[in-house]
Amino acid sequence: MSESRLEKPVTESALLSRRAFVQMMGFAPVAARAGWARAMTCSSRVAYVGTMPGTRAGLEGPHEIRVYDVAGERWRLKQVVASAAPAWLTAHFNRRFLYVVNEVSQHEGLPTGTVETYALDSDGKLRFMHRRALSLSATAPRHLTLSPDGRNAIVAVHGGGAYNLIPIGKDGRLGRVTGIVKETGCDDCPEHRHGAHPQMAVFDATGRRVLAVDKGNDRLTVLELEDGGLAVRERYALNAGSGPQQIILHPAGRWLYVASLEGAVCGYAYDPARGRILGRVERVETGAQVTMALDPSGGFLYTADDEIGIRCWKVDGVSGNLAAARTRCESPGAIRAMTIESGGTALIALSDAHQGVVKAPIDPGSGRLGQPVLVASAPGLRSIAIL
Amino acid sequence: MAITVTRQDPRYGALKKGHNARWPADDADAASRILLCESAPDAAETLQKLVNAGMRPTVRSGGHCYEDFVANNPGGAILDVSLMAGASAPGDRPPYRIGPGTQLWNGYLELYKRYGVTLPGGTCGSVGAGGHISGGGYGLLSRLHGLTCDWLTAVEILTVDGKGQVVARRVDAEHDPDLFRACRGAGGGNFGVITSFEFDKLPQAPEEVIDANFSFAWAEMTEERFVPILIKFGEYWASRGRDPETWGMFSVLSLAHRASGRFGISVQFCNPDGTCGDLTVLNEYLDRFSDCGVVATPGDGAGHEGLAARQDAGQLECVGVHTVRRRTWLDATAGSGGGGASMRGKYKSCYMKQGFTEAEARCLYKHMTRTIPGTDLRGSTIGIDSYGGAINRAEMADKTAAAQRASVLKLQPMTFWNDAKEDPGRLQWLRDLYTELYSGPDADPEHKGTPYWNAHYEGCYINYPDIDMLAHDYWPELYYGNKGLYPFLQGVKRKYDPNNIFHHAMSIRA
Ligand SMILES: Cc1cc2nc3c(=O)[nH]c(=O)nc-3n(C[C@H](O)[C@H](O)[C@H](O)COP(=O)(O)OP(=O)(O)OC[C@H]3O[C@@H](n4cnc5c(N)ncnc54)[C@H](O)[C@@H]3O)c2cc1C
Repeated sequence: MSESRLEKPVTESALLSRRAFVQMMGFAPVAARAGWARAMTCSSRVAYVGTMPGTRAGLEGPHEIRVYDVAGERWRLKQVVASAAPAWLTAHFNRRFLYVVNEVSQHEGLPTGTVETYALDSDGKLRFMHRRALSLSATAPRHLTLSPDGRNAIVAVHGGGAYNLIPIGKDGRLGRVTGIVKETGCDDCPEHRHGAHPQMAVFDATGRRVLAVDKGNDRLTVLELEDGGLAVRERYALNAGSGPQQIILHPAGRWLYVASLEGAVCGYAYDPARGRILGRVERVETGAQVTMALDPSGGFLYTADDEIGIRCWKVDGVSGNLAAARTRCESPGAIRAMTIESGGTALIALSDAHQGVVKAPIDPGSGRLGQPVLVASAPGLRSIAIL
Repeated sequence: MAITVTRQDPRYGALKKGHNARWPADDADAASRILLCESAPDAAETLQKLVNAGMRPTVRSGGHCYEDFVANNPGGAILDVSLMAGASAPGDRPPYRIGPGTQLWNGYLELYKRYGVTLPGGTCGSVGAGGHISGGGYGLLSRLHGLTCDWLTAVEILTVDGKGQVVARRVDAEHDPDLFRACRGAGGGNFGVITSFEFDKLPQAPEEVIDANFSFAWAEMTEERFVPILIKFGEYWASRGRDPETWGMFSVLSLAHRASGRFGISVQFCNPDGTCGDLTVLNEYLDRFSDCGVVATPGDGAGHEGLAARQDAGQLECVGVHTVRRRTWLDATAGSGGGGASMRGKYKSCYMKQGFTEAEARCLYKHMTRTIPGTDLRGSTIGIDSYGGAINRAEMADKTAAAQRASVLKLQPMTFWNDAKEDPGRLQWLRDLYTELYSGPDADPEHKGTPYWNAHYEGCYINYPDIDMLAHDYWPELYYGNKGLYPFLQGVKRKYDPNNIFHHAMSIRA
């Protein structure tokens, strides 16, 4: 791919309208949780961006994974790989494999989503390895997380309302699904919402338990790996209609933050020894369709929403409470997803409004964001992972 | 409480699988446990526990599913209702009630002995009512009395609502009529666990029947002899066979592969009143085949298994040049008492609105005489059943979910074997046959390779499911037609199983 196809970086003055930044977001994933980001060592930096134009009005084009060299204020596109609805990207901690969640509802005639595995060459380029079908009726998966030892993956299945446990071989290949938890709707779910819609899952530090959010049934669920399968340990009801869609476990392992469609981020105390959710410790109001990212040290949480824009919250290291830090960041348009570069040096956001990846430097002491710049452009951005 | 059979239980090996020895395809596919329920409340409690635990239930009655819809359930549980068996009326009079686990032969026997009635169901005695009736269910008496699901007047079924709560329903024409309609032919494993079938009325069982058989030796067969036999057979059911006075006659052409040595035609006859006093219709049918160089004989095993099973029973009788056997209906039906040994099997299906064309007959000849090096094709047959009659009451298409109401023949190409090593050859043979047969001049040009609905074909039978059809994105139309039944069933699915708890490879996709 030639450089000429890349757009010039756009600076703050060119693109920032707070209004615009804020429209964004919602269903989209945030690429890396804190533990993952911390595990990265940074030699050559590569970003993988999944695009799904056509799933949004007015955008057309193939679904693909775009591979960029991450350097300075302009990323260099070096490979484009066709993919089926790459809704989520997760890089293996060993930097050798990339897992791509395909948000499809049918594969080889069967009602199921899939996950693709790619090997990463030394320069970060992708080499397709295989495509693994999820369990029957596990349609439209949205998210994949790896256990801390890198031996298991959990897929949150939005369409089919389920979680799949998949063992990972030493060669990085995904095995057959060995554990399935099939979810249902809940007592207080609004009539219009049919069934369960798991959005995201994270492992706790034990590597045996998984915390998950479901925006269909407004639940937090604790799952546990058991005899090679998956079992439900706890179901924790959140506010009816809140629509939790993103979960982040604090690196200390004792708090988890949940962003909901209703426009709130809530913190919950978690007992990692017993695997139990102890109760809500925090609730901060945000605009609707909020998405969030936590810096690898756990000191700052960033939220972006349709109404207020990007804000920075200081995380209290004792209580897990959130205090609004010097927040306001001029917004580079509606945002689909956010992540934090390894080392916590920059916030990376997928901007719907600008059809591109926007990068804002982070001041390590205060968490404050610097001026965002557009580092890459592509239509229908959906997912990102950075190594 | 359900009887729980886990992997440690000595019964697990036998109960993790059904009749088709191909499933589960490997151990990783197998269900983690089998839960045998003995009553509707038992099944409701068991189902609720499974749903609460996030485990997938697959439902089993007779275990005769052709594909892996039940046995392939990794980490899940088979909710087995085979112990909920028996045919009984709650009191001395109808409605008749049949448990889903009732094996057909036992159902026939009980209904006959208690009330003198029967179900116009299938010929395999160990098929379960649960899958059979919910998928339509037809047999030797269907031309005379229609499909089994046509007689159904109510169903008790456990569904799971949006909140994950099990709901026990009794559905009929007045209560949840949409779900009731869907339970009449759309196929099992789609909407819930059926715990009882009810019938206000059932047809009288015939008093006696006549069995007759023709047999053809492949060694003496040429393509030029073969083609007229097929055409003659099909022609009858597309013409004279439409006359109500013939509806008591059922005939099957069991077209075995040349490797089996012979193929045959079997007939079961009674007049519409269930007696065999006047044999004019039968005689006329048998005479049709005289110029094919055969006369009817008392069965040599080349015909239909169920019909030919009890060769020593009944009374031999001459009808013109033919020798036939007169038997009581119960005795004849007892031929279907067993279910055959559990083997590996693959099946396909097709409904035909017309008899065979020459092109079809020649294609069949080609594949039934084909050899594949290294593959033994004994046990490979096409069951070609007479169809139509009372089944084709057009109004039943709207009352039930069995859409095919204009066919005169129903085909079941199938192959059976024991050794897994033969899988590829066997499957290939069947696929090649089917694809070529339905790519000919009679096939719909836009749906080549399948008997898509047109002037000649009426798709496939959901009780003979074939996952090869999933390769076609229009597969639901093959089974449910293109007149709105599938969208209707999708609506039923969304309403009564919003979480898609009940699913398999070919379940209704909402
Ligand atoms: C040897 C043989 C001969 C046959 N002959 C005929 C024939 O003459 N005529 C004919 O019409 N068909 C015939 N069939 C096909 C038969 O009707 C189907 O295979 C039928 O679905 C089997 O029902 P089952 O309960 O025995 O099977 P199962 O394997 O128990 O079930 C089949 C399907 O129905 C579902 N199901 C089972 N029980 C329930 C329940 N209680 N509630 C909801 N869903 C349920 C299962 O989940 C599965 O999807 C034959 C099959 C065989 C193997």
